[in-house]
Amino acid sequence: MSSFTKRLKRELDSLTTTQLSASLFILIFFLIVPLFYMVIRAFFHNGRLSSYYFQALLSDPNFVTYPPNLNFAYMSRTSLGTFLFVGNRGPDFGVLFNSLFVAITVTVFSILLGVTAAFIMARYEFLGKIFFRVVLLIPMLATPFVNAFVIGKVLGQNGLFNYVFHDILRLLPFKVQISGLPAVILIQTISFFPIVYLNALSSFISIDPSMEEQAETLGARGFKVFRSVTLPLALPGIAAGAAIVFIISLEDLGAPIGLSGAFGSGLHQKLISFYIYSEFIGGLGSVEQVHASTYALAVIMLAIAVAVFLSIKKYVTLRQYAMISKGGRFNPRIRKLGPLGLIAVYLFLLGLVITASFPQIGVVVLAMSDWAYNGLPVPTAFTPQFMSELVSEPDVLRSIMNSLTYSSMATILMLVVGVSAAYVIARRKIPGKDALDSLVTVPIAVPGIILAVGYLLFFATFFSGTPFDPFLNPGFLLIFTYTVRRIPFTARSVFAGLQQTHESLEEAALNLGANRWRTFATIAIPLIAANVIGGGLLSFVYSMNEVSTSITLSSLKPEQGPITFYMSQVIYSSGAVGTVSVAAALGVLLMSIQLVVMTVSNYLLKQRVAFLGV
Amino acid sequence: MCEGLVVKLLRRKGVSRGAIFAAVVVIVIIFAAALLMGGRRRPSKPTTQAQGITLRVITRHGYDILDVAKKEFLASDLAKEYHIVNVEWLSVDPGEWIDIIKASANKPGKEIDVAWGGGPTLFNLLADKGYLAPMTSQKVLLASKDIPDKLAGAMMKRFDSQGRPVWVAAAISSFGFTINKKYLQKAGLPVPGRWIDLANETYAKTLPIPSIGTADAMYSTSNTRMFEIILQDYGWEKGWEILTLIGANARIYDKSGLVRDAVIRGDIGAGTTIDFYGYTAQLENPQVCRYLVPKDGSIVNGDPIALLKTSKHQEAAQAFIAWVLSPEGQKIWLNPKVNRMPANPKVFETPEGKKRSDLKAAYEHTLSLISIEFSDALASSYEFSLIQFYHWTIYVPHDKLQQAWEALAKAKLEGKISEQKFEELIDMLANPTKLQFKDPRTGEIKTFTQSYAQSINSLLFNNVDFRKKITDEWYKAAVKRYEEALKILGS
Repeated sequence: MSSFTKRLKRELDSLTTTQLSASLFILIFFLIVPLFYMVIRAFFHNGRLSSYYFQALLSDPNFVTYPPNLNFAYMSRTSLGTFLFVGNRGPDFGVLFNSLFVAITVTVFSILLGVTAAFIMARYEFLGKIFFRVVLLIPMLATPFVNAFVIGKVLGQNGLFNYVFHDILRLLPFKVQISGLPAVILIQTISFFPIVYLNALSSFISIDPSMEEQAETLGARGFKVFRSVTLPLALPGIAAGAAIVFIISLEDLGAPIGLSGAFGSGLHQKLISFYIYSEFIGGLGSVEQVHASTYALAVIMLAIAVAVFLSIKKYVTLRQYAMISKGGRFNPRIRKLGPLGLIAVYLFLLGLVITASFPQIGVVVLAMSDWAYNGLPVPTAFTPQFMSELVSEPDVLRSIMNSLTYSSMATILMLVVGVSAAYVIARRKIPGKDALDSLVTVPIAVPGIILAVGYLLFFATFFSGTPFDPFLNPGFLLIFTYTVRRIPFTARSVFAGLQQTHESLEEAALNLGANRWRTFATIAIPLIAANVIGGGLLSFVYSMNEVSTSITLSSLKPEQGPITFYMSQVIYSSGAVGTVSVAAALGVLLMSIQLVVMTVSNYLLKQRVAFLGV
Repeated sequence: MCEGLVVKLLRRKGVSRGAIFAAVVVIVIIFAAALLMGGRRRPSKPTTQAQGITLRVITRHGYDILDVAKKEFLASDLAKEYHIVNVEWLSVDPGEWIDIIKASANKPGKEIDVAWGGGPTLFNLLADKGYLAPMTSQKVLLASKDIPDKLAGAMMKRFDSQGRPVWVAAAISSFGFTINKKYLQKAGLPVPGRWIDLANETYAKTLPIPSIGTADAMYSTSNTRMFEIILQDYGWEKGWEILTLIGANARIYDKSGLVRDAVIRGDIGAGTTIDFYGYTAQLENPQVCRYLVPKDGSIVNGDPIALLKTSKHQEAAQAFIAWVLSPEGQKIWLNPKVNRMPANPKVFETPEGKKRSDLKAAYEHTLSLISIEFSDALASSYEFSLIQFYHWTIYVPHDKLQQAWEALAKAKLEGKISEQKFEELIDMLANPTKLQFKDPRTGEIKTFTQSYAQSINSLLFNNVDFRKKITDEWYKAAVKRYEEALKILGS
């Protein structure tokens, strides 16, 4: 006990105390306390501590399917033609293992795509690189609510994919119909691989070139250098991205909701995240209607996220990645490509960008043409009608301003809290720092709807009449839901940067008489600037995309609603003519703003930070 | 003074100036944000007559209707007479209505005055739970006198024990199919004319690609209504057989709007929709889409408006309700983007109403097609049972149901099995009174008869644990019989 307090005392200098208290304050007050209700509901049955609800879940036949159904694909001739059906009758392992299967597969694919793309962008020079820098980020942009319609138009039996590859190019002798888990994996991979890409890119860029040069001096060439030097040195960044992709895939609702919208019920709904969501949506009148096993399931999902995150972390921290000097704009290892290499790079990048951006491209087409209602696989006429409808609508501007305000304030908070927490975790030996590390990482695994309900119950009851009252100021609370839900992007990225930077650089400053504050501000922060900015940008973009808490809290005061709330209002409005296209037009606006913010910050920061990943 | 003391204390404890500075920065950021937000929109003080009244309305209507309604109402004489200067819309998900109404009641100035739109199921729930106040204002009674109490059995008004209205229909709808003519033609499928047609094996020809669409009862109140019509039209057993086979033929979506979207996109040939979805689809693409009212039964459904007990402006709130029900207010439904049928037919006599002769024709056509005597009391006596049973035996195990039905229907279409065997297997797949499960209260083996469904109806809503257990049983039993049928067909 005394050694514990002694250690604590030694580690808690003023910088650490401040950083620790700032992060703990935000996380406890805005994440843990509002979630208390969920935990209580999950663990208490009839007023007593009990595992009743966990048992209820495990006895749910829907939950674990044994033996699993492994029927991935089959061919069938129908009166509409010959089809290859992928995923509609399997695989199915039950809700629990389906989620794990999807999350693992999506993580693996995202690593493959993200690392390859990041390596190309970090190490090769080719025409159009700046273009790819921007378009590789497009798949991250938000297309909530509209993506179901786009998925139907593209992947449906008469959709664009079958039209191009079967009807026109005749490359396929059959049509393809993809649904179920494979479809979830497809949609999630194309929207989440940029997370790995961005994290890997900042890692590749920070690698000290002399490391690779030494390997080459010693005779290693090509792939061997990559496998034995480059990749291991970049591992912290890749692992950070992978951990986030795993957790975000576990919690994701965009893909299952989009696929249900396009194809109706199916195995794409047999996922933990969707199960929780449908319990809340299916109830009538009150959250009392939600069975407590739903909260137990949320606890299970959190536990999986923590377990996977900690094991990835344990694996990664077994080694040393820190480098004394860092790569950067002074001596970048960038090569030109031969003609064959150039062709391969263009094929890979173009294929990736076009495939991965189909939801975003589809939204733009929906917003500007007759694609939504002409009943054909391709648009036939351009129309400015839907975009121009936005101009006449004063609420559009207001909701955009709201989104920008909340997201940028949340980003500032995330930077303060995320950098603080990551610095404490990477540099101090505080007991229990693994818990803090999990705390800044797993919030993505908390279902948004549960957090929203938690906020409603907690802040409306205990902060009635204050600026924290959701009935008075839902917008203000949204800043904090965005902060806690999106902080992992910042925290993980910063942590990866610190792992790659040798502590001796800071120790040198301390030896020369700088205090901890000065060392932190003038040595540590500049060295990890790329990671701070990359993480901050991811957090910002994903804040603009946030749906669950935005919808629930804003409904209490619509004029404080962000743009995602406004989109939900448009798309669910009484089935008026052209609804999908108007919502798509809003989506175009949202994506444009996100792109502008990314490009401007890239431009502004490029002068100071070498080869920013954006 | 006080702050200085705190700083001194902290300094003495070994906290550096820098640490205190950083802590202050974090706190300042939070409170600057608080002030900015709070300052921009100060909590509104309880409205008084002098300042004018702000009405708060919880609603399921879309922004396009609400924008128009707010503008028109605030400009009306009624709004001026009652000093109403603003209407705030709360677009809340049905799953949270009661929570939000309850929580708002404890916030002075934030109480909700009116509930508008969301279907009779939701409003009956509000009435049963005691959230609705009787409407006593002469203005409401006058405005609603042209709206009948019942239309072909379906409630247009609900009264309390003293005969005072607690909700009144503000709009009406019928139910039917939206079809995609091109799809049906290409797939060689007939145009459905009756509900029972959708259950026919002909539509299984294209499986595993479904050619028709419907929506889950749990998420779509309009489809729940359609299912209730079918059950009353054909009786419990035959009715469930039709529901199950429609489900087996169909793609089942989780929002009614998605059914319409799928028809417009050409993913399916026919979908069950509420009338205004059908009419707008028809307007959007007249060459391809059409709305049809089934010949074997359609009713009109009232979409209510009601006064909430929590309202602190009962008179002003009723003025708004009276306006919505008056011919003036009913004009909002005639907007060519909305195309809803008004509850008050007097609106067709206004100049704007005369311009929508198409909607008037549709209105009269709908009324002329009402062919069944619908009992609201019967429908609500088993409504929650219906919703849960549909969800857990048709929607959730849908992949299994569809696979079994595809095998069965194709065997029949290809002449591989006799008519009798076909009927036998349908009975096995779809007869609710042959689905055996354990009642979680008693452990007895039960089947899903109408009287059993009625006996557990309120329990399903009020006892969440019971609901979870019995729906697990239903799901297991349903999967079992779909797999058995498939096995028989395979051998």
